[in-house]
Amino acid sequence: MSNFTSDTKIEIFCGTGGVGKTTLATARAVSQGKIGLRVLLITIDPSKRLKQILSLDDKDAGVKHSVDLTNDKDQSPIDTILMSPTQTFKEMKLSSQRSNKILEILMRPNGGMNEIMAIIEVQKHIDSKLYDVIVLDTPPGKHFLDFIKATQKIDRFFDKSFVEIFKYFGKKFNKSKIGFTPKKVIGLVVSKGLKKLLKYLEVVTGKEFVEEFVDAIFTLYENKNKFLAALSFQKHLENSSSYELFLVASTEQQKLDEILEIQNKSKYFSSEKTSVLINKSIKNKLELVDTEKLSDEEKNILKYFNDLENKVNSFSQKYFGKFKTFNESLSTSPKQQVLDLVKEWDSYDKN
Amino acid sequence: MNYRLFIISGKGGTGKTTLSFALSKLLLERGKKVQYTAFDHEVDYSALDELGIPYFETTVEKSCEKYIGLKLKSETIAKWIMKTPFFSALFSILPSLGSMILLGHYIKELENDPDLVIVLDSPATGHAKSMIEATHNFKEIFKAGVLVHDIHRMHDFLHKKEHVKSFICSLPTEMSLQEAGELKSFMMQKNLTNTSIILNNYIKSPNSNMSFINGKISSETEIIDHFTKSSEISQRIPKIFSHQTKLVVMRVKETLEKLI
Repeated sequence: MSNFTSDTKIEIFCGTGGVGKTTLATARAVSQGKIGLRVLLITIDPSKRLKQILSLDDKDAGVKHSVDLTNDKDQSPIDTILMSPTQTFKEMKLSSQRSNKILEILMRPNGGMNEIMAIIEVQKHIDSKLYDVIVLDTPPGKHFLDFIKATQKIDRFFDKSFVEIFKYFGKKFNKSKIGFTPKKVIGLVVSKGLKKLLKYLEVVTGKEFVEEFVDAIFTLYENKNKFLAALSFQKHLENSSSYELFLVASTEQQKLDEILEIQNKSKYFSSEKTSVLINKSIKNKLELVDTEKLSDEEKNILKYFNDLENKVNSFSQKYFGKFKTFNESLSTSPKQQVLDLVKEWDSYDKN
Repeated sequence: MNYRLFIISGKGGTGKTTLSFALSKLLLERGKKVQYTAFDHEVDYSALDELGIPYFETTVEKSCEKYIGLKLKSETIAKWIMKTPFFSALFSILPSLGSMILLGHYIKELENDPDLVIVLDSPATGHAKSMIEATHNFKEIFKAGVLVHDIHRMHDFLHKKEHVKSFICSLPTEMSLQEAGELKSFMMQKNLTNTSIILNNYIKSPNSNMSFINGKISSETEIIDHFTKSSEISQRIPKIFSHQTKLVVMRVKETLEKLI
């Protein structure tokens, strides 16, 4: 294994909530680590117990932790990060002496900036060239699309909205960077015809906010290159050798139309790089049932589960070339569930 | 049970939508004027029509336009503002601003019509937290202006015990129940004290001739016992072995009838 990674492969796990994305992604990361790859697992809001297993804590979210789930001395541990917009934002080290309250509040864990900050975080680790593989656990369903669209949002925000404001005083601003205050900016903006827009904003939000807001925008604009760096993530996804997309479904919790929607809307992904993972399958157990002894109610229950298995299987065959079935783990311990899935992943790349 | 707003949340895939449908049905039967809403996610209109549940139809964009129009006393100006690249980019980069205005819209409707009851089929845990926290965050951000006044009004409404009832759905799995417990303490912190956890989809069946079912039951029982000790689970709804939405909803409704 060379110490220099020319191109980090990204493995993206997405799907609706509750299908086991985080557990499957964790197992994948462990399995990749077992064959000697340098792996980074980025998880988005795992459950408390899984955090414990991964030695993650809300307090040190955003910080790298090495994890060894297999207790195998020959194996190097994998790195894991619990996504934290606050930490990602802090590490961007914006070149502004002022701290801006609006930005601070929005970068809190539930502040609503998670998708955008996640893209920035991932891109940072691609650029670090420290990893062969980054396993990325994404937000559920429609929020995955937000995640994918985040690069466009960043682009759009800096392109259109800022241009509108900054074209009015861009040159002046560049010359007199040090003497700038939010009040001065408002003065400039107002004198240049955006008066109406800001007046309306002031009615709704108050004057103090408008000042703080202009200041926030200014801080963002001063640092726009740091945000725009995340746009190369999109380019990364255009190169089909550098990623793999796993759409996770589970036998019990199917929502198959949502999977199709995700697939249709994430147009970057080529179909040969997309696989469906059918999690929590009990097909092998259903086949063992002796139907002769069953009561009518039991037959009904058996049919219910068989229908689920058949439906998800024929769906995957119809719409996706590649799919893999993972057997349900009966363990109640999240750690054991991960380890059970690692075994199933170990055989994946051989096929 | 004279609550005005029901918030149904929980981990993804725990049956929030089914429970919201069943609750709407139950309230309708009890003569309430009910409207279902799925917040900013896609609504299964055909299921709602089949079940005869009225719904509150709006989008973040429409609500924001309406809200700004109301505040500036002109719909034309609001339309213009929302179309400026600056504002549309602002709303797209700050989704929580839009979700707060949407939540505010529901509360406004509830204030305007004292008979109305809204069943809010909320986003899953993480985004439910963002939705609830948005009012607190923006209250800190906007120190003056009409918006902060409206946020205070939203809080006054949300924090009245007799107004809001929150149900957190959970499956009988450790991760789902853990998450439910975490969400519950989050909501309590945010003054939504009338919150309870509903255990959904547990297998209620005597020992079976099918060993896979027995395996499921015994692991479920182990987990449920563990969480019952910490008294997190307030109500239980058994799994319905059917793929027909209407049938499942009606069966869940029958269970709910005894519970609330």
